This record gives sequence, C-alpha cells and structure tokens, in this order.
Amino acid sequence: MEDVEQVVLDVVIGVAREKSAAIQSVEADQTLVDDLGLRSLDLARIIAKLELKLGVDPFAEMVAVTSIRTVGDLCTAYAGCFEEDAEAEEEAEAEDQAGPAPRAGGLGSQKDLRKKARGEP
Amino acid sequence: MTSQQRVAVVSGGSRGLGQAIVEDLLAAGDVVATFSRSSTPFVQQRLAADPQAESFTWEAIDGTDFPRIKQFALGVLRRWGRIDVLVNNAATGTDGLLTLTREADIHRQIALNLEAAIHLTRACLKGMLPQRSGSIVNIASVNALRGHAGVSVYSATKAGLHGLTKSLAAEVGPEGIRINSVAPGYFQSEMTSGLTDQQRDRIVRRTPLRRLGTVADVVGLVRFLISPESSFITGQMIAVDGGFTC
Repeated sequence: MEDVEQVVLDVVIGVAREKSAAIQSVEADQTLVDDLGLRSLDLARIIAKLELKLGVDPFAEMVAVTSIRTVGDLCTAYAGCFEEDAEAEEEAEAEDQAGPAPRAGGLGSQKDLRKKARGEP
Repeated sequence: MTSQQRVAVVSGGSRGLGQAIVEDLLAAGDVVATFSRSSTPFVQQRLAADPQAESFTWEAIDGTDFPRIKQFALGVLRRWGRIDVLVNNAATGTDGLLTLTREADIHRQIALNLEAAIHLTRACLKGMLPQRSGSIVNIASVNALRGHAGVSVYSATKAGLHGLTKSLAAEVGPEGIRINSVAPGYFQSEMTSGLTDQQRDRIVRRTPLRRLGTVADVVGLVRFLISPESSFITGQMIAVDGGFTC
C-alpha cells in the first residue's frame, strides 16, 4: 500500500511543480487548492495520470471527488480502492481459470495494468 | 511508432464514413484504433496487412457497452502511450414518427449516439489531459441544426452531441484540447442509397451548391479539424451540406 501512496505523492508533486517549481515535497495534511494552488482541471489531470499508472479511478463510482481536500484524502481514496480490488481480483482470477484465454493481439486488461503498477509479472 | 505519428481513436470505423476517416488517417501515417459491432472486409483486409497491429487495431465492441469502450481507450493508452485524436463517429438512426417508434429503438439511439460518445470522450481525456493536447471531432448532423419529420430522436442525440462539444470545449480548452462538431448533410452513402430519384432531386434542388455531398467532403473537414491549421477553432459546429441549412 506504501507503493500506491508513493505513486500518488509523486504524481501530485509533478503536477504541483508545474504550477510552482519551488515545491519540492508535499505533506498529507496540505490542501490541494489552498496550499498547493491546484485547480479542478489540475485535479482531473492528477486523476487521469493515476488511472494510467495504477489502473483504477476511485472517483468513477466509489468516492465523491468533492470529498477530497488534502493530499492525504487522495492517498486514502486510492488505498481504499486497492483494498476492495484485492477481493475482486481473486474472484476474477478464479473466473479466468475457467474461462477462455485472452484474444491474441488485444489491448490488454485493466487487471494487467494494476499488476504492472504493483510490479507484478 | 515515430514521434510525428498521431494516435487516433475512431468509433465505428469499419464501414461508411468511419471507414473513410480511418483510411484518411492511415494514409497520413497515423496510428488508428477503432471498434465496431462486427467486422467487415475492410477491417479484415487492414488486420491482414498489419498483423502486429503497428498502426491499425480493431476490436468487436458494441458501442453501448460502456465499460468495454472505456477499456478500449485505456488499452490504446497502454499500448501507444497517448491519444491525440478522437472521432466520435458511431451512430444509429431509425426513421419514423416519434409516437410509432419502439422504446427500445429510442433507447439504443440515445445510448449509442450520445451516451457512448460521452463515455469514450471521458476515457480518451485520461490521455489527453496529462499530455495537455488533443483534438476531438464529434460527427453530428444537419438534423441538429434544422428539424425534419421522422428523425426526432436522432436529431435530439445529435443536438446533444453538440451540447457536449460546446461545454467540453470551454472545460478542456485551457489544457490545450480542442473539440468540434461536424454536421454532414445528405451525402452519397449507404444512408441515402434508399432515396428515390425524386427525393434525391428534391434535396439537390434545395441545396445551393446543387449536388449531394460526398464522403470526401466530410473527411476533408475532419482532416482540417484535427490538424494544426485549425488550432484556434474549438467548440464549433460546421455543416458540410452544400448550404442546405443556410
């Protein structure tokens, strides 16, 4: 879970530094808007980048994006997503064993991306 | 893939206008990812010519399967790392008076013509927002501009698509992403093949440029709207109709 938090922090720092090169690090209790000066479009970019890196978007269904005020809130939202995801993946893997193999030449699955994000083969 | 190649997603690129847009992008050297409900000889020929899917990929997806179209877009991002162009082309239409239209047909038109475009756009923006660039073209219709009996649901979806164009242009413009609508009029295609000679003549008489459009007329505008030549154009609906709606 620490890795997920680090990925979130790295992406937040990257976007925040585009706004202010002086920002070297971010803290969990810093607010995205008031402390880091991020706009809603910046948050949209952070979420888009994190979906590509982690393969999940907690704000698609699970969490209201309006509940996110601090960097820590963002980390918690993604961590929660992976906790629920572990159970779902166990079920999906059981289905995979019973089902047909993926189509050759396809674009890959969300599950593959999540594994890649965690450094799994 | 070279740094000059654009990565384009086209919905419904297996036949008709969608096929022509895909062919134009491929001729320009771009990478094209498209999906449609079923394969066609065009798709089979392209897949055979590019077995490693280096510049062309296709998947069999019903456009109303929103989770799958989202996965398709994210798959393109995983494979090529970016999405530069999105053309929301897939659509369906049924002619008939509204009160005689089946509810299932109403639902399918709204789902495919409008809701699918919203979901696909949302997914493709996951690539465009981080790269802070991109161009989206929504294939609307002159029916979004002028009323015609028998196509009220289709017209509503196409007008809705242009509502998406205008508001999203305001929303993502600051991030360097443009979005425009193309409104084709009557052009020579499968869509107009069922017209009688009399109906065709009447349309031509009402068209200031005195002819039906061609697929090439529409493709040319799409090509312009995704090019740097239109870099200061966003949130617009441009009709390609020979002046039919002027």
